[in-house]
Amino acid sequence: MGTVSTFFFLFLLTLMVAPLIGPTQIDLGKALFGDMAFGENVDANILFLARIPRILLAGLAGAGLAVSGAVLQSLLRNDLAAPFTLGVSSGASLGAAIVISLGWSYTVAGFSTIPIAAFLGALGAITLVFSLARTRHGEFPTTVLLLAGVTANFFFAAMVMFIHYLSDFTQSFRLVRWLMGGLDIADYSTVLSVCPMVFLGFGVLMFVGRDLNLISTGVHSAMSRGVDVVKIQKIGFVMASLITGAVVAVAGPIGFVGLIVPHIMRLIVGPDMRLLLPSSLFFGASFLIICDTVARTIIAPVEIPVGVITAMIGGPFFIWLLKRPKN
Amino acid sequence: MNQPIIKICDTTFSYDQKPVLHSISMDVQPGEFVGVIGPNGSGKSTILKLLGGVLSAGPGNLLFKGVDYLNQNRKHLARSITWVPQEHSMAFPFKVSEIVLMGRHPYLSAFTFEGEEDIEIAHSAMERTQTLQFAQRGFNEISGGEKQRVVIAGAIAQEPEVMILDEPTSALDIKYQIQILNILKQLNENKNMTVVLAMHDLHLASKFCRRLVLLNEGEVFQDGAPEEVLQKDHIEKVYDIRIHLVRNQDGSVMISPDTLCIQ
Repeated sequence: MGTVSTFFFLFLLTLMVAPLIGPTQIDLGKALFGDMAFGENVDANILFLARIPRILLAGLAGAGLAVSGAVLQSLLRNDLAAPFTLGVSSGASLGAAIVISLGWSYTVAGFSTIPIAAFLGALGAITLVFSLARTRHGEFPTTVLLLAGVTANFFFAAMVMFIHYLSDFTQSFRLVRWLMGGLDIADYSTVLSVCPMVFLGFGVLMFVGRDLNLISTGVHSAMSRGVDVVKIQKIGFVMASLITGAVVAVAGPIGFVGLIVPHIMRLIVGPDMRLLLPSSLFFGASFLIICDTVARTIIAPVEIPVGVITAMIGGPFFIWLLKRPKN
Repeated sequence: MNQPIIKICDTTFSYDQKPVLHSISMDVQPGEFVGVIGPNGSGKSTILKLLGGVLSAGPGNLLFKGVDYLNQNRKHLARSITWVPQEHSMAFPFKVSEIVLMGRHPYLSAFTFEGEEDIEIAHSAMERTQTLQFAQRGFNEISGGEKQRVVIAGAIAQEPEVMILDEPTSALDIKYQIQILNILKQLNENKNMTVVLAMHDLHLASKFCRRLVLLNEGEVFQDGAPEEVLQKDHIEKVYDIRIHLVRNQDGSVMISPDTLCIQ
């Protein structure tokens, strides 16, 4: 448990430091205690309306993608599995694109249709890849899994392009803007829409942590130890889709976080999901907040999408994972 | 005769239309040490997966103490029956002690860590299998024979009444084969554990098992004491070879091919 709390403190630290960093220098004293109306207090406006919601969203997105990646890796018994590599993110994009292009993006009683569509898209993608890549013995060979993921990615991307092509100008613009993703459109309501999904998913997954450990050692062994494998697979895939859908619906597909974070955490805290899930949650949040801080400041005043930063780190990391010597 | 601890009744099983077992029936009595033998593809692994409850052939086919496997809670069944696979490929770097502790799963409720008692039980299971000295090493770093002992330690930690093992000795050298079989023999004799295992080595099977079930093309060809089952004509028919069979004083048999050519 010691290491998990280390990552919790790392998370708190990034949460406190990141709002102070940005292209515009802000005066913290003035922002917090400035003797003027909020509307006129530029420092407070930057801090509370621009930076903090964005950082919270980055934290939630990073936490969610990392948890979702950790679960997919254990269910598929493969450390190259992640929302991005399996086409789950692009499945979520397709779901959201369909809703946006049909003009069905409503919000009913606080529930927006976009995350629901993204959730269904993600779940569809997981189901597809799972059934394509599984052998008769319940294994998921790396090559088949990655090919199934690539296929799913291309297929969903093609469908999104098709929808894009059929859309009129306004819809097309909204779609492009959304597909580019990013955390720059964050406000507190987007933060609140993602928050329950990430924490619900995380809580449920923690509850079945030991079952997930056993499944990651093999389905038949898990069954013989008393795990209801089919039930746990369903719970795991639904929760991973729920989280990925919620994150992708507001932040767009951000690659590689779900691959890198659980992997690094496994090297440090080991493969036990009861430790891996919380440390991935905290480190995933810290990781994406740091990446986003870099994205906001590296060529300021221009902001680059955070997905560019994660991909620049994640691409080489993925190649290393694929080529590293196995024992 | 007592009520059988496990009963498989008139069970037929297919993988994707391909039939593997044809109306198999078999009783296992408490405390038996049963070897399942037969050529590759004769259905040994499948029958053991059915007995171990990791494959299902539908309702009414498998009974544990008279109750259908399917009518029992999975965790409850896991407290009575465990199944040990033939190969152990581990995708993630679990430690040996973690693998053994996973045997405690059927006794633990959701979202708990293993307690003092579980750690003690795992510890004595590792003692019994002589795996304690590498408890803190990675499962993927140890040898095949050590892995097999670790997985058996996990099965012992599960405290079952019946242990089903799919060819636990096939990938091992003679020293480890005997070591594993001795561990199982001690469990059988000292803890009255019912053991059902698949084997390829007919000599070792005749030496360690008190009952052998010879499978041929998905059917039970012979079922009985080793000296009844391991007859020259039975082996020649099922394995489709010509052999010399030498019977030792302890009842075990030595088998060597008659010529090096397969018929």
